[in-house]
Amino acid sequence: MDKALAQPAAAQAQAANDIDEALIVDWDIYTEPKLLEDVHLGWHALHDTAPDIFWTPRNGGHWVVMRYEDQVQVLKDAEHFSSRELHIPPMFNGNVMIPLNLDPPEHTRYRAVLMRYFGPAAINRMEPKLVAWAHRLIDRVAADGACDFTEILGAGFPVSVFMELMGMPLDRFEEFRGIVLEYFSNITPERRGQVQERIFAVMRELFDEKRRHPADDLASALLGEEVRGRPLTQEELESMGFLLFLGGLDTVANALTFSIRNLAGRPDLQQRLIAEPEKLPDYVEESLRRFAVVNQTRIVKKDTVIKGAAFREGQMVMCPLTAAGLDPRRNPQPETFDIDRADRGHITFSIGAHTCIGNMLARLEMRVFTRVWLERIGAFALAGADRPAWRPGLVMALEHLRLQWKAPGNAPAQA
Amino acid sequence: MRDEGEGEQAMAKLMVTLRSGECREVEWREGVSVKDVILDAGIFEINGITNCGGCCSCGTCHVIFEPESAARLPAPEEGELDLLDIVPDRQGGSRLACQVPCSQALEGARLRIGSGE
Repeated sequence: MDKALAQPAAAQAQAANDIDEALIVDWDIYTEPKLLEDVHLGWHALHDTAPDIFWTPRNGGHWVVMRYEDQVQVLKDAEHFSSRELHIPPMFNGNVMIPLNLDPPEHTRYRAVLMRYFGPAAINRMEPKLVAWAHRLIDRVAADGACDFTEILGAGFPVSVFMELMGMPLDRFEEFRGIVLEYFSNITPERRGQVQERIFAVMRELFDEKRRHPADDLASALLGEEVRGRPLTQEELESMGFLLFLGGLDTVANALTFSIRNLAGRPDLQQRLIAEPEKLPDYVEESLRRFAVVNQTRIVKKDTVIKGAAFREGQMVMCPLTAAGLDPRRNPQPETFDIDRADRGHITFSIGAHTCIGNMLARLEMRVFTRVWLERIGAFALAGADRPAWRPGLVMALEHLRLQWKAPGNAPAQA
Repeated sequence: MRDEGEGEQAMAKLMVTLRSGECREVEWREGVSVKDVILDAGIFEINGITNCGGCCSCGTCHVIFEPESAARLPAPEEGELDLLDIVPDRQGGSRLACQVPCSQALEGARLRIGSGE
């Protein structure tokens, strides 16, 4: 058990004492007013006011790395920055999530197992299913001329796709979605531990069901998978399931909702994407850059110094990936949404050993959904005064997104 | 321009065959990975959109060395082997370019870019 957990105040004082005064900024990643006003521009504001690497005493105390170049360095350096603990505030509860909490070389063998299912060929084969889901969900709202996009569509689409891929019972959508929403909200480490146990239980149940009734889905396939020539253990299966649960149920949902909110305010761009669907990949990349979702964390494994910041073993580090995409040193005029941007740089899917394994699926989902949405709905806009309810934290979200359009929309185009 | 056969003065080149079949000469630099020198030469197909940044975690930079070239390389470590296991067009000379550092052993080596699946 880590001593820091037993004496948090003392550990904080210790940490604060070791840190150069000039590098300390009071910034709470969950409650900071600037983030509540706009999660992306709130982080970006620090580019003008804070050091490139700063320390905040909040949430147990942690470093924040604000620049694209430095985030890439940290995330590629598993020797100094470990994935062994990923929560802010840290949990130190002994749960090792495989492969999420592993560093190379232990990490790589598990990564390889999952890569089979998330590589380009496997994902591209899913396209017809994605198109079907998009139509099915849009069918529910098209005639209304209005909706709150966030849950019905923003979450509905990627979560349904994911649950079907995994082989999870679709009638438990609300329940699973509720669990993951709680997980990423501003709860105590103790409560988060309880939610973790809930997710492990869900996974245990799922694998048990697939042992009884194997099906053509990822959970069944994982039961038959091997790592280094032997079957995955129950612990490994539940861990991987946990990772897929978190990764699948609240990340693409937010990327999609952010991008649609932006598109709602850009009738010119809507027209352009309808006329030039070949620009959809660029549109998706620019959305990912401008409206990132996840803020990556690490724990210092070995002391090192970057730009005068003395990282000490045991300290938590956050790389807000949105700050990398919004770093003007990497992307000039970063606030501007420009699908024609020449040299776009983002690490919204992170980088290094733990680069998001779902990134191909996420990109395909965003392309497909946007295309089908524009085809079915046509021109759309925000409904009512736009007072966005942002959710800051480790995985950022938008809690509501009210849209309107001319009902009943368009029938699906003939294939 | 340098002549071949100038001995120590010559910058040893890799012969890289692209997916199109086109063959390009790529200069190598001591200590830099094969993936990075290929990228620096403007051959972007080695870098899938999903790339992990050269950290042996995505398999995108799969290349196939000709047997004679492959034999001169230092053996792959366990992580690279784990990932090569899942490359669909894996064969004898298969390596992940991000894990092969440039050195004298690469002088005149011939390789082609994997399918990227």
